[in-house]
Amino acid sequence: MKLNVNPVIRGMIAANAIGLLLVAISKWIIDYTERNRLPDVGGIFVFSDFIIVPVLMGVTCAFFWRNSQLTGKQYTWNAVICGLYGILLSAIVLREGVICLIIVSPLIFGFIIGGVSIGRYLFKKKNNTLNVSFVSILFLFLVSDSLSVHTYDNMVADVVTIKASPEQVWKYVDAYEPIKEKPSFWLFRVGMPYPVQSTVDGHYKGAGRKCVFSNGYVFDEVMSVYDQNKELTFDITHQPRDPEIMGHIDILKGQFILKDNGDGTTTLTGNSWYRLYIAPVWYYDIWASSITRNVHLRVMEHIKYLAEHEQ
Amino acid sequence: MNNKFFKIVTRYFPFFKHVPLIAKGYEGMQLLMTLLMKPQLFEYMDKIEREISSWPGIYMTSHKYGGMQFNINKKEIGHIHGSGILDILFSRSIKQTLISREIALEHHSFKNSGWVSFYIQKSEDVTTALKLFEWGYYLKTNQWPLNLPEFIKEEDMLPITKFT
Repeated sequence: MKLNVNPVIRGMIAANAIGLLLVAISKWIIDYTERNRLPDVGGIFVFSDFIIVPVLMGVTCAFFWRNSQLTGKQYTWNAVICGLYGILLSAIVLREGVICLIIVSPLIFGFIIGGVSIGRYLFKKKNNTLNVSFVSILFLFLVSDSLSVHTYDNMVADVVTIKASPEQVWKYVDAYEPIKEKPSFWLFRVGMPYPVQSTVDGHYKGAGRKCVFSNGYVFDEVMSVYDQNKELTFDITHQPRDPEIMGHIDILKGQFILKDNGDGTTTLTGNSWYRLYIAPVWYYDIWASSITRNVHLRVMEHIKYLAEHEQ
Repeated sequence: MNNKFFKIVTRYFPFFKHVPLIAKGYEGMQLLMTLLMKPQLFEYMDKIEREISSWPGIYMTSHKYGGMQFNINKKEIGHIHGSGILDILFSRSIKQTLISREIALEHHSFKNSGWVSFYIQKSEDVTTALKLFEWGYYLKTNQWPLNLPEFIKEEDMLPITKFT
């Protein structure tokens, strides 16, 4: 029995099947290197999962749509629908959360549409040697990229001026009461966890500190520098393994530096060091630094309010 | 907005075009933005594509920096980006004439070349875009007349769409 499925639908099904297969191959390679104690590639998802795979999905769609006489608009709409199915499958099969999918969706849509544009003209030329070479090169790139190291460390800093002395500000730096104010950052408002409180075991170097997030997640920290009224540095000793974001980024260290401005105000600098396990870095670091900065600002604005309010 | 974004990216992040496939993904995002914010632009681009692809010897490829590229005799005539920016390569003297007559603008990236840009924004721009491609076609097929001002009739032209 021959199924008479519309070529547009066939293209979408084939593209998503190939996408899933390629992601499975990429993940198997990464798991294999870990199991066999080969050099740690560090990645959970790599550059090619978000670029090569969507491009190949787009090219696959274009192959099935090559005789369908579609207009440019129809090609693009169908590519978007194919991307939506891909994102839905990522949620079901890879168990990615809403925030992760929001972050990744511009890449998926962009590269699927880009892949469709490539394939649209590639298959019109009827040059099978070129077509096979193009797809083979992309596949080889996927394999080699999965075997490459993908960790990336970065630090972000934010500065707030507080109308209070360093002594007054210091009282709220290591521990503070719950932040009741609703978050203003849009990702926090759509469900991403944000900091609400910090507690400490004691006010000395080596004491434990806990940073509590809105969904109950707790970051365990140890204060490695406790220079009263000047600097607090803490190392993260344990962090939640949230599949949403936290599997893709590790926060390594945090720091608050207080500077007396000599005019009754204090400059509070917040620094955070993090490591990304996801690529392409040029894309994900924009999100990572933005999220980290908004975590900083939420805490630092709260410290500012407490210190100034006390006056 | 899409065109402004395009200008910012090409001006401040030109190195991205050298990273394999990045330009294609960026083109895909542009097409998505066009689809969501200015879907009628697709009608104009499809109309241009239908017309030009019917000319003898024309074949289309994906432009290396993203977009649909029109070629003849293994030479590029020009290409259209997903945001509706049309780029065509002429000689420098023809380019100067086209710019002085406000038919086309300086290329959005390559100022010191024969490239010109034209922004497709409304249905009337399709006529101008087709004329530009027609001249490019004549140039690449050695049918270019010696004197551009005689060749370009003012009544053939519509006022340029200013970049907004």
